[in-house]
Amino acid sequence: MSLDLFNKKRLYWIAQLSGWSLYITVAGIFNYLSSQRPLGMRIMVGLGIAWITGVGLSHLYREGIIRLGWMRLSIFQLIPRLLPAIVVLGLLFQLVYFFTTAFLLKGAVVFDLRENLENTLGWSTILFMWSLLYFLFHFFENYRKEEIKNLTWEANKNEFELNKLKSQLNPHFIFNSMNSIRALVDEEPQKAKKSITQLANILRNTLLMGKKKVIPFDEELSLVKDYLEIEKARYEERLSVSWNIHRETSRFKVPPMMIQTLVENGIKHGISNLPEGGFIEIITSVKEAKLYIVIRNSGQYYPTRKSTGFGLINTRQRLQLLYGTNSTFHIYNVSPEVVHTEVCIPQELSLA
Amino acid sequence: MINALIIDDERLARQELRNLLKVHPEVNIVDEYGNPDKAIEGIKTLRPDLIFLDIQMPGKNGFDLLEALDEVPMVIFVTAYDEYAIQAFDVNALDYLLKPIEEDR
Repeated sequence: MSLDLFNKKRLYWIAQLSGWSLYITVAGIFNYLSSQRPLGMRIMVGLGIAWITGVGLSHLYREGIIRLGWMRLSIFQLIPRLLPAIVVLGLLFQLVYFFTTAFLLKGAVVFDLRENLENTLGWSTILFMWSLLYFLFHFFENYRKEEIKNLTWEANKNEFELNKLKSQLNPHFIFNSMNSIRALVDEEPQKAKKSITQLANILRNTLLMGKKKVIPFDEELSLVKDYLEIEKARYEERLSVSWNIHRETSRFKVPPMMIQTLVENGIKHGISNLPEGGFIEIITSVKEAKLYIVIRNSGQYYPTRKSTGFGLINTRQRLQLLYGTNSTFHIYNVSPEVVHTEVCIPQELSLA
Repeated sequence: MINALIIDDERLARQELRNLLKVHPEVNIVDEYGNPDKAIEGIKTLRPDLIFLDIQMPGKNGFDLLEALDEVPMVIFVTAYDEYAIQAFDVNALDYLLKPIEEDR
C-alpha cells in the first residue's frame, strides 16, 4: 500500500514537471515561429516565470482538490465548483506572472488591460486542461479499483457457491442410494420406483437451490421427507424418524436444502456410525414471528472434526447472508447420545 | 470353489451383491455380516478365502476391520465412492468395486 502511494506520488511529480516543461517548450517554439527571431531575454524570463508559477500554482490547486475531497464528487457536482476555481486561479496566475515579470524586467513591462485579460483566459485554459488530465487519470484509476473490487467479490461468491455444492451433493449418499435401489428392483419393484422418484426430486432440488434464495417451508419439508424415505430404504429398521411440525410453519420461507443439509449431517455423522442405528426427530415451532427448527438425532457432535465442517460452515454463511443478525444457529450435545441442532429464522429476509 | 463372506452394514447392499454373484457359481457365499465386530469373529471361525468388504460402516470401517485380523483373506472392497481407492491398494486389495456394481465385474 505504501509502495503504491509512493509510486503514485512519483508519477504525479513526473507528470507535473514534464507537463509544464512541455507546455513551456511548445510556447517558446510558437513564439519563435511567429516572430522568426531568437527568443529574447524578455520572453525567456517570461517562460521561466510561467513554468515556476504553473508548477507551484497547480500543485496548490491539487492540494485544494485533495483537501476539499473533490475526487469523490460526481461530474455534475464537480463542474460548478471547477469552473470558478479555474477562473480565479487563472487570475491569480496572471497576477503572479505580471508582478514578477514587472519586478524582474523593470521598465520593460507596461500594464495593458487587454493583454492581462487575454493572459488570464490563457492560464485558465491551461489549468482546465490540467484538471481534465488530473480528473481523467483518477477516474480511470477508480474505475480500475472498482473493477478489482467486483472481481474479488465475484471470486468470493464463487467460492461460496462451490462450498455449497461440496456440502450438498454428497456422493456417498447418491451412490449408496442407487445401489440400494438396484437391490430393491428385484425385491420390491414398487418401492424401487418410488425411491427413484424421490432421488430425482432431491437431485433436482440440489440443482435448483443455487437459483433461489428461499423456498416455501412446505417444499423443503417434502424434500426432507423424500430424503429420509431413501435413507430409510437404506438403513431400514436402523433409522427411526419422527416429525413434529407446527401448523403455522407453512407461512415461512426457508433457504432451499438447508434443513435437508442439517438432517443429512445428523444421519451421516450420527446414525450411520451407530451399529444399532438411532433416531432423528424434526420439530418446528413459531415464537414471536420467528421460526424455530430443531433437529435431534442420535450421535455425538465433535466440533473439531473436519468432515462436519462444510455443511455447518455453509449453513452459517447462508443464514448470515440472508438474515444477518436476525437468525441464529446452534449445534450441541444434549447428552452423550443425542445431538441438538437449532435454527431460528425471521419471516423477512434482510438482504444487505 | 471359493468360500466368501459379505460384510456390509446395509442389508440391501448385501442382497445386491448376492444377486450379482449368482452368475458366478464358483463363488460360494458362506455367510454375511452387517456388523464389523461380528464379521471379525466370523472371519476367524469360518476362515473364508475371500471377503467382500464395505469400507464405510458404523463403529469400525473396512480398514479397521482388516487391522483387527491376524490372518487376512483375499479382499475385494465394495464402496460407493472412490476416495479410498489408493488406501485400498495399500492393503493389497484384490479388487475394488464401486456401487452400484456393474454385472460384468
